Amino acid sequence: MKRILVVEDEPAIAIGLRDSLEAEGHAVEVVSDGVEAETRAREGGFDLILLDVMLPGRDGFSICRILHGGRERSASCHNHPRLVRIAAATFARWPVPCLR
Amino acid sequence: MGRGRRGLFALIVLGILLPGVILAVFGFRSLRQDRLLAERQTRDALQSSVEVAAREVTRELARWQEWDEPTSATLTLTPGASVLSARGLLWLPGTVSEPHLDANARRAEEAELRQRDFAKALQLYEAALREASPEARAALLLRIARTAKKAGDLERARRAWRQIVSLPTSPAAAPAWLELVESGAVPALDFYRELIAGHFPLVRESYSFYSGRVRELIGEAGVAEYRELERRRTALTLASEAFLAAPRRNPTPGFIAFWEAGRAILLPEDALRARLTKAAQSGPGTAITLRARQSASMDLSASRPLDDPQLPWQLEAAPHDPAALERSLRNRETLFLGGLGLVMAVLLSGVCLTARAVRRESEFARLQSDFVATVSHEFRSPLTGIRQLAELLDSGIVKAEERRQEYFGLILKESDRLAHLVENLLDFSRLEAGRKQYSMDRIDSSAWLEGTAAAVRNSRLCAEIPAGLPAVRGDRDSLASAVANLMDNALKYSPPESSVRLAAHSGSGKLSISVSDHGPGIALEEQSRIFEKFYRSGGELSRQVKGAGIGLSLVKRIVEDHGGNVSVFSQPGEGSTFTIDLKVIGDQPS
Repeated sequence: MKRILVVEDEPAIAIGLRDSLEAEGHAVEVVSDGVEAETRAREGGFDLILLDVMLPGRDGFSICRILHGGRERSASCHNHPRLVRIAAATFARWPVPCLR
Repeated sequence: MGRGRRGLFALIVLGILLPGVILAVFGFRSLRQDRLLAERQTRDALQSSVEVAAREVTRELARWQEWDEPTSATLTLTPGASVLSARGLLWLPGTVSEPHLDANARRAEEAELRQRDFAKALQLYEAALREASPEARAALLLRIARTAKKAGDLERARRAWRQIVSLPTSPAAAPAWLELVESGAVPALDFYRELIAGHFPLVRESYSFYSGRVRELIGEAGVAEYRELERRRTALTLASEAFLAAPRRNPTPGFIAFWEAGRAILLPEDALRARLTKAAQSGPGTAITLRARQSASMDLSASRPLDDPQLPWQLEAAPHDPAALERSLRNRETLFLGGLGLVMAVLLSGVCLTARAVRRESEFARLQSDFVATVSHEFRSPLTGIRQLAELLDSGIVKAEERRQEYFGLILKESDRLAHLVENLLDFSRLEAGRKQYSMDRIDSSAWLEGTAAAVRNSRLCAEIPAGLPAVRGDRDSLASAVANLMDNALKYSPPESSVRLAAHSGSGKLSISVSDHGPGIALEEQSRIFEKFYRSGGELSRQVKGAGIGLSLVKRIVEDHGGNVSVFSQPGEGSTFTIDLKVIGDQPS
């Protein structure tokens, strides 16, 4: 069983993801805005974070940068989880900084 | 994008300003040529006036015999160049001949001077007078007067003097005048005036005597005003003497003489110069002057020596007002510079307008491409949700009935959202393409608004619609979609637990429908832009609210197509109120 954080503001998608993942036997937590997502991620303990790009409060890319960023790296984040970006829109000119 | 735009802008500036600069350069060059041309034309005109003037002067000189100069001497000469008659001279050059006296007169003189028998002498003089020639009469009368005076018959003497004075002028006139003056019969000034008018044929010594004597009688103060004339006549007379001694064009400095066929005229140079200057004037605007030959000319003038080489002058033509040309050139320059400034200003404002249009256009293009991205996101999100929930339901892993109901509710909500989006997009594209057809109806406002509010199916909406609102005329569905958009926005932009208020009232021919929320409000600088199509407030990725950025522009378009007006009142932190104003049609059914 893994601990998974789902960051998604569309309730239909969030509930769908939560229920699918729970059906797979994982512990899932859902947050719907960027600021809260960052707080929860910093508290740590997640094996995987599923991150939407267009989020209220703070967008997915900046959360991604903060969690990966050298200066932002802290003890709690030492064993940092894998981040997966999910986005419904295609933005050709958006960079893909998280998937490396 | 930014660099490309700057490049384009620079190209436009260059493309517009470069011709402007070239225009200015050519303008200045043609202005200089214009100035040179104007100066040359003026010089040419002056040159031709000076030629005309020279012809006029030559013509005037040819007419010298007709001149009537107040201070000039006119002489009639014998072939041997001695004076036959003179006018304007104080004394006669050379000698004055005494008239011939007959035998009676000689005997009378003997009786008067030798025998001192005055009665006999008077008798003999009278006898001689009766047979005397006109030239001799004055001389005899003078002798009669002299004898009568010696005899003590002053009355008779005075009568004789008066007779002399009334006769044509003769050498006897001056002594007769002096006798009359000295006897108090005539004012001394009258004699002096006659004297300096040159009316007496006197030799130089006699003139000096009479003039000295009469000045003595009058006193210097009394003749002061005539002294200048006397001096001028004296100089003229001296010049005539010099001329008669050796006939030349310039007898003495300051005088000029002309003679031909036994006639001569002498006059002062300045009088001749004044006469010729007057004759030379050709037209208005040009001043012709006679200046000494070889004198330096003025800046803008034309000069030419007189045809007669003996005259010491050259003709010079100059504009009456030399500053006038400069002024007119200055005026033309000012006009040109003003025009150039205007053209430059127009060009510059053209550049500015173009730059603004380019900036607007590229901003609009950016909004449009954002719109495409946003719309695709807006479509995919509900579709992804619906599909995911449907898959879960289909797979059968969702067992709890409660959970399944939640899924159905979510699917319903998401499909509503999709439908709403599709509806808006279709409306928008129809309006944009100008293909939107409104079906105008009489709308019963109260019932219509109640229905519109009910269709939203949201418990947060609090509708306060009074009954009996005046009817409006319009497309029921379009107006409903406008109001629904406002309510939708209000619900989206305000906190989940807060209420949204739909209110309506009428007054002064208007129906006002307002939608208020308790959302974050709209900053003042954004209020003017939110009705623009594709405009969305806040950052691109982190907006709190979903949407394509066409809702408010749709509202504005629909309301304005109905002759109404939509406005916003908002203060950041205190919510917003959007108001639609529509014209009412009163109670007349249509």
